[in-house]
Amino acid sequence: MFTVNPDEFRHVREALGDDPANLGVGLLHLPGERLVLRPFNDVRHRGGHLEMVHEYGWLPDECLGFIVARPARELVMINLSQLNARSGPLFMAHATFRKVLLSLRQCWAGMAACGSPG
Amino acid sequence: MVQAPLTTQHETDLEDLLTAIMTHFGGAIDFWPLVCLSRHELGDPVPFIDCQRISLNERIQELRARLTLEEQEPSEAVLEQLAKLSRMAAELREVFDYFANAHRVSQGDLETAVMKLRQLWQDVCKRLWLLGALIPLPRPPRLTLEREEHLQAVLDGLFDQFLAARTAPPSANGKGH
Repeated sequence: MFTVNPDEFRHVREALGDDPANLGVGLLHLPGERLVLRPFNDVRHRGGHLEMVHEYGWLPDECLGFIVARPARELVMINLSQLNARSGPLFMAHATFRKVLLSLRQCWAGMAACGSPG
Repeated sequence: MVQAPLTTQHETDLEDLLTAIMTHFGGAIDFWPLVCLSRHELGDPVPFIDCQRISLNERIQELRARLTLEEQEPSEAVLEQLAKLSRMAAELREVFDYFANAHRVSQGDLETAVMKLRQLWQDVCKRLWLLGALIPLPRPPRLTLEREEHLQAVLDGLFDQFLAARTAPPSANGKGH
């Protein structure tokens, strides 16, 4: 599984609930096996996936991306980023994305078990 | 009128703001089109695009306000560049009208919109560099080489991505929580 910070997850969920026009930026840093999430409007200069990569001091080649949306009550992860496109399509490999989803679900389950479902 | 020299802090603030506008505009290349491409999952992309365009324009107005700080009245040349930058932010609306409706506009219109975005990006970079020289700042605003190359690659692939999305089935995305 990839590492996820539950606070980031909660923050994105709340921010997208508060502002339906906002979206979330999701990054997977492959060498660190780490997932990071941020509301788009909280990315310092709103530069999207690319700015987040730069902010963390990572290289675009090391990262894959996705979009987080909350069209209704549930969060939806969209497998789409220009970071993924360097090897062809805009989406990351299905197996990798499934692992991203499982990691996020596990994070959510952990939060719910601690009594903070967000 | 002779203007007082900028303090180092003021120079740094202005450099950061010029780079911030460049980065923000870069987001219009790296991220906004994805929202249009995800129309099937996200619905109408226009509220997001409009919100971001307004925010970009606010940043340009912030630059103007910062330039008038410390009684530094911007020169005519600077004001002209600021006005052109604002117009470019407004022109993004037209480009993204095509992207938001990429599923039903003609290929020719789509291609023109991608070319327009490329042209706007080049113009924005030039105007920000020019502003840096006119203010004047010791260093021009710029992105890292990796970021510049990434944005160029995105612009190169954008038309094909929109074209592919017209025929591809909805992607397999995941519900979260």
